[in-house]
Amino acid sequence: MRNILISLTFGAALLAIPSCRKFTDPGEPLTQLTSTTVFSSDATATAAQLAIYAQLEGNGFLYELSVATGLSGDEMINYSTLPDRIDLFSNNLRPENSTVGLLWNRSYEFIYKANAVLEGVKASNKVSDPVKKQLQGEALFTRAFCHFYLCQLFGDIPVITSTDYRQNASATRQPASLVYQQIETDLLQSIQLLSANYVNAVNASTTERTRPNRFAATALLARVYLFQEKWAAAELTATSVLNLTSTYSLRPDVNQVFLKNSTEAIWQLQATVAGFNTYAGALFPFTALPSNVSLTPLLLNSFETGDLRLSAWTKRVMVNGTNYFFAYKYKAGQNAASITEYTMVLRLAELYLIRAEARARQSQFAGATADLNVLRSRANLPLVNLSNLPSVLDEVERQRRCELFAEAGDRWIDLRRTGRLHPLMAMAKGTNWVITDQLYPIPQVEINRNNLLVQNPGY
Amino acid sequence: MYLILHFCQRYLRQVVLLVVLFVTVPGKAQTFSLSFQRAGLRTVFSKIEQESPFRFLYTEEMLAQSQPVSFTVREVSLDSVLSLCFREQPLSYVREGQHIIIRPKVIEKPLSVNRTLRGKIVDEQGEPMAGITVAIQPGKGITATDQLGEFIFSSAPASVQLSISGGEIVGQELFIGNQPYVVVTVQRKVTLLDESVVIAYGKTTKRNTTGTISKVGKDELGVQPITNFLAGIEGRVTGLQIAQSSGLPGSHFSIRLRGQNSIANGNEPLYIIDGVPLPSNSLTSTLGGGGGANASPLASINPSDIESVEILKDADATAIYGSRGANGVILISTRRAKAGQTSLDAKIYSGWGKVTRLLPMLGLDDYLTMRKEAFSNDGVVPTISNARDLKLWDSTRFTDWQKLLIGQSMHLTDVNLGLSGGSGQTQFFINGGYHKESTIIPGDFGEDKKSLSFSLHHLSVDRRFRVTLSGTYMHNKTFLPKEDISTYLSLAPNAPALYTAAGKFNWENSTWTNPLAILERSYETRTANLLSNLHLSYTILKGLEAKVNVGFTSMHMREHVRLPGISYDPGLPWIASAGFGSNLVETFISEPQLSYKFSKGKANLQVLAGGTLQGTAQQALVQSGSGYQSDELLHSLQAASTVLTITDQQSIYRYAGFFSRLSVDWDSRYFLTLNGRRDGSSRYGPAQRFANFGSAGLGWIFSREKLLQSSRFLSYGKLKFSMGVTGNDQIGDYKFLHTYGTYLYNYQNVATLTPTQLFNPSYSWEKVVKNEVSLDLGFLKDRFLLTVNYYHNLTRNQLIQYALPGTTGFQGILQNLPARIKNYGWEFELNSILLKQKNWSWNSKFTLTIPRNRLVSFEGLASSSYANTYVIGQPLSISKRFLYTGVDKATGNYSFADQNGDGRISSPADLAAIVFTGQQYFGGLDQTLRYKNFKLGIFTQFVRILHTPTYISRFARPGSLSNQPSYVTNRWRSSGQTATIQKYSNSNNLSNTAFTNFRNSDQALGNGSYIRVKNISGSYELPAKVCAKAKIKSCSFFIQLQNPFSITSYQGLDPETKAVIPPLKLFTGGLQLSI
Repeated sequence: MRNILISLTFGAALLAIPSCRKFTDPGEPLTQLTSTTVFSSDATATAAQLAIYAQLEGNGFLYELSVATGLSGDEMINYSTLPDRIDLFSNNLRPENSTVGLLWNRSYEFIYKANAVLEGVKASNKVSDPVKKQLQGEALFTRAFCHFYLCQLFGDIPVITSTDYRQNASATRQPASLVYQQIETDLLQSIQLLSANYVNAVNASTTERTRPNRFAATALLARVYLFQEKWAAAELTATSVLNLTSTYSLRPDVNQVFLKNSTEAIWQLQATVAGFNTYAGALFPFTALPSNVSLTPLLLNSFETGDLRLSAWTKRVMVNGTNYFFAYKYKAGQNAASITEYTMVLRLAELYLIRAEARARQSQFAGATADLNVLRSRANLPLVNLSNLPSVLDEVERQRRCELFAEAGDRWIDLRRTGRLHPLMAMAKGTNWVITDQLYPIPQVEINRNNLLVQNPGY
Repeated sequence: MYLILHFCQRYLRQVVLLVVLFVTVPGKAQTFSLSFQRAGLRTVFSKIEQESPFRFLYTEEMLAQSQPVSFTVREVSLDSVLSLCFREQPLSYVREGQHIIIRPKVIEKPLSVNRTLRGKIVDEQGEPMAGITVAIQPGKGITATDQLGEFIFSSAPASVQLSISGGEIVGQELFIGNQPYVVVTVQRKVTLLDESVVIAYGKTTKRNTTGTISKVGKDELGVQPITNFLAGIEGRVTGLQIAQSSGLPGSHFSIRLRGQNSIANGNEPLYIIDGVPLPSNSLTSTLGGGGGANASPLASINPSDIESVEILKDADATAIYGSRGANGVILISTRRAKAGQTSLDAKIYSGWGKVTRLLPMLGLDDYLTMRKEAFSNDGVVPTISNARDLKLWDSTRFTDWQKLLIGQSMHLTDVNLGLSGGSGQTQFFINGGYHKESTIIPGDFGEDKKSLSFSLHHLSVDRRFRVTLSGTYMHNKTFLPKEDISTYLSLAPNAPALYTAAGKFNWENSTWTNPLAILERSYETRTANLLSNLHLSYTILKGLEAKVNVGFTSMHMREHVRLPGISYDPGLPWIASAGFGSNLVETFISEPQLSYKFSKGKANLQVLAGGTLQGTAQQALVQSGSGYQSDELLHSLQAASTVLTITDQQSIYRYAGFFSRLSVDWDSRYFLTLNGRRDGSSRYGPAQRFANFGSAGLGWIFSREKLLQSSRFLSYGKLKFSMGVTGNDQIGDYKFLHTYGTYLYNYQNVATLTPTQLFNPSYSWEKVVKNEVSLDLGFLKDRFLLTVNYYHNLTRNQLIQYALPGTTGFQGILQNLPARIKNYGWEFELNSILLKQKNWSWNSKFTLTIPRNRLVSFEGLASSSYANTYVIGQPLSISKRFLYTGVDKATGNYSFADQNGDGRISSPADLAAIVFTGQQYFGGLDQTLRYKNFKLGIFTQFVRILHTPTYISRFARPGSLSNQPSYVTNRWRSSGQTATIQKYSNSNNLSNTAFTNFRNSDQALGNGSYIRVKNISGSYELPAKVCAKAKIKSCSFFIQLQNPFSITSYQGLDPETKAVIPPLKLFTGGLQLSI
């Protein structure tokens, strides 16, 4: 018995001493992949890029962007009791505002992920060439897209083109001109790399316009040229997309613009969130008093009589004798029976407006008017004949307002570009508005963690 | 020490009466080398008396019956010699200090009754106790136990009262029924200095250790109505800062031992329960709930199962845990089997509770005045969109939201039933516990715990092989609100009615959030916790012991969030959904050890060597379901039309180490301990996987020096010093790999992959160098024991989740920080026996800790992410704030020092105030009074902290649509007025900016000091005679008050939990019964 006990005790002790080096090697994680594995096949490398779109839609980035700028601007009225929302609406932004922080952080997250795809694909010799090209093109496009919106909201911003955190942690704000230069470079390269077709997860052509193709990059480039006042380039670039009439055309019925795979779509985001078609469709509507946001009378009054877009794209709710309106571009609410709508990121109507302005700036008023009339006629408005720059610019501004309201902050960023934001908001927003409200504050946490970042004036 | 030995009347003709005065002499065992051939016992005795101070007491008659003996021994103990002498004698012996009393082997009593009662006396470890006096029916019979701890009365009454006494033990009286053999466990009488203290891989005493260890025993834990033992040690241990995160059941405790070693990483100590490490991280997943109160895994241990909690602090005590010892180690020992008559122990209590404090809030009139004044100050006309409370809601309705939402009474019941017993060789213990409590929130919320634990202990006949198997299983169910209900305390007092006339939730046309509807959103957790431990040891040679400790723990938490449709405003598009979480952590550990004890002359040596192999596997799955046909189906994932997997994660942690310890002492006066450990952890990259740790400790009991030995005043004095290096591997798994995980959502109908972290392949071990000097002083025969510790810990090469700006794509990365952090401080503990008489006793324990820390150096601080957070030479717990300069008399807004004179208040340029937000000192005073069978304990805790977040951090600006504490009424109203609160405002940008700046100013941190009577417990124990009549062993009644009073000037709910639900004050009463 004793011998058995001794052997048991020591046997247990001996069992416990295998090679420690081997024992402490945890091996590959079971539920994760290392980056080398991710970029060793077409499917997993593609999945890394697709995650960016899934997150872009899944986090409601574009919805947040349109609410934030809609409240800061003159499109939306706040009913939320959240202090961060109240501050946006009263133009009393603090650098601690969580919505502002979210817009900043999400954008740089997407940029990091795009850079990770660029670096991963580049280092890989296992991803096939066509997929490699497509992914590089998409990653460059994503990077340009995010830098563009950051630049519109915050002004000068750090430009991030690698995943090196040491470098990125001490990045400094670059003048907007340099940011545009980088965006332009990325987009031009992206146009070279991207396929003309829309592709699916296995790089085959598809009718779903849920990944950027060559023309999505081209459309964004047209906008970027416009913002840099490169009028000729903007016109030419917009035209190159507008000419693809077999792929892109305005939907005659304004009620069908935001449907999935709409012919007007240049890039849409596939529905991801359970129960949602789109964030806008799920969160804008209300049936009693609004508790989120409603549309301002200023916006509603800017529609000409008979504009189909007013009746089709807004909806009225009457409570206690007062009318409240919400944006109703997306009709499918929460828990719709099926997915019929996708979030629109880039659409053809904007290219008409880009070209109209670019043409007018080059004194091609007839061409400009023609472009504007395309949108007017669809909205069932009488055609116009404008022959001088101020009148065209004025009409472009109104058409942008009526066509693109509640879409990714188009009005806010466009007015800032044209220098009209300050005068218009000073009128619309009252004494709370000051000129420095045109730019959002750099989030305080960023300033705290990176001493080289300088806060925008006024904060 | 006196012992009077009565020899039975039967032997009076041999020796009439022997009265001996014994004095025990502590000292080291002497050894003998002897050789005899057929020698008489007398010869052997005189030889031993020559060589040692031992003296034999016997009568000639006894020796006349003895046999001659033959043996040869070398360097063996006296006991061994004696056992050889008495092996075949009709005699036995008892040792009392230096005296060896010889007596006939069988002692019988000439009582007129008719049965034999045999028995055995053992100590709490099951070791037989020799020389214990056992008497029956006072004056009717008396004997003493032999070397095997056994006694016998050849003729005893059927039911007897045994009275057990002895110099070394706490006297005991008990009643024995008609059983032939009893085993009685007695408690050794020890002073605080000689009480057994659990340390890493062994035991020691305060007297003999070179390390710094605090102990909280079951006596201190047992008087508190607690469900997490951390609540029970709060304030009782020097150097240990504990704060409850919320008053809801099962909530987490934040714990810091000797300050914050690491800037931003794990500061949790290592928890070890019976040798098996316990995960200290909360198992709560992203589903969260319960008002942000993360469930503490430590709540899954039944406090009634705990024998003692030892807190290991300094290098000497913790270095043997190497890479896991940096933040200190907390050892939890569960109750062990005890030998003795089978005994059923029951403890039952029940009671009520309420939150400790409520906030004084504005009443209806003050609130409406505030709102109207705000609009008038802003020059804005109230409308439906900006003032629904004034324009839409009934201005005469009043609800005290605080009272409604957190002001209810809760109820709790706790039952423990235990069964224990066994022989000297094999003992068992089983305990079942049940605890149920409700909450102070309206609704069916609460906690329900069930536990079952056991311990089995066996010792072989030759006393060389020991085995202990213990295990506990606990099932813990909590049912809490999903949302933090304390956010609704600021609802306007005239907010709408809760229900419509039809009895449905009232949403008042989507103008408010109905808090009772919010309480329909629930968060349920069910945690199954299995802890098991097997300990085997074998004494190979005298002093040489081989041991192995094998443990397995499994913790499985299942979470279920239900967000029913009725909890949503029907005017909004939200619909019912449910969340399901499962988190399983399994740990296996094996620790083989070899220890050797050796004494020569005055020197004693102990060597320990061993190894650790530990593997932990974690598996987490979190899913959500939506698209339910009915709220009733929310329990099922299958009933959801859409299912989303939020987390699906598995990780493996492996840890291996070799450790050794050498302890030497000379003459119980000079002590030296050396610890060494080599550790490997899978959490480090291949190149950094192994590291070495170690420590040295020195002790000197200077009161044993000749000069002081005769001092009447100073009875004990010890100086010790320790230094060493420990580490920290609380960094999470796989941090050195560049990993991608599956993203929440698919895209283009395929799963997508997203980077999970920034990675750093080359981070290496963090090291904490701990130094300590400690002085123990005992006065007046140790009635007053004072311990003073000074510790000084330096953390280098800190491994932290280094905060990064969002431009990096993430919020941080794991890396070594080129900083050095110094934690130092003073700890005082004074134990006093103020009164000690037959009927009265009064003991007290006072603790005081003065913790400090400093950032000693930080390479490149100015260009790092922490440039605006830390200052070299300042503590880590500072906050850079705007410097508040009062309410501007002209504008009525808060004003601040404009440091750079640019006319604006902006961060970081104007952060002129550096405020220390840490605790200045903390401690406690525990008093125990006893009068006869009555006992009263009062424990008071105190904390001094001058700057801590007040209500301001939680409430919106005064004037907005949200109620305020009544502190705000002293506001600015007209130009030139002096006020402490700025003018009421709803939407004025200057006021709003001033308020936001105010929140970031030094003024927003207020005094959070408090003195709290944490526990009052009173008990009455029934006298033994009454118990005997009732045929029970013992019975006591008790009442307990937890947190009954607090003194604080804190502006807010409770200074401990701050903004969330305060801790509870409980009133409980119960009974403890042993049969």
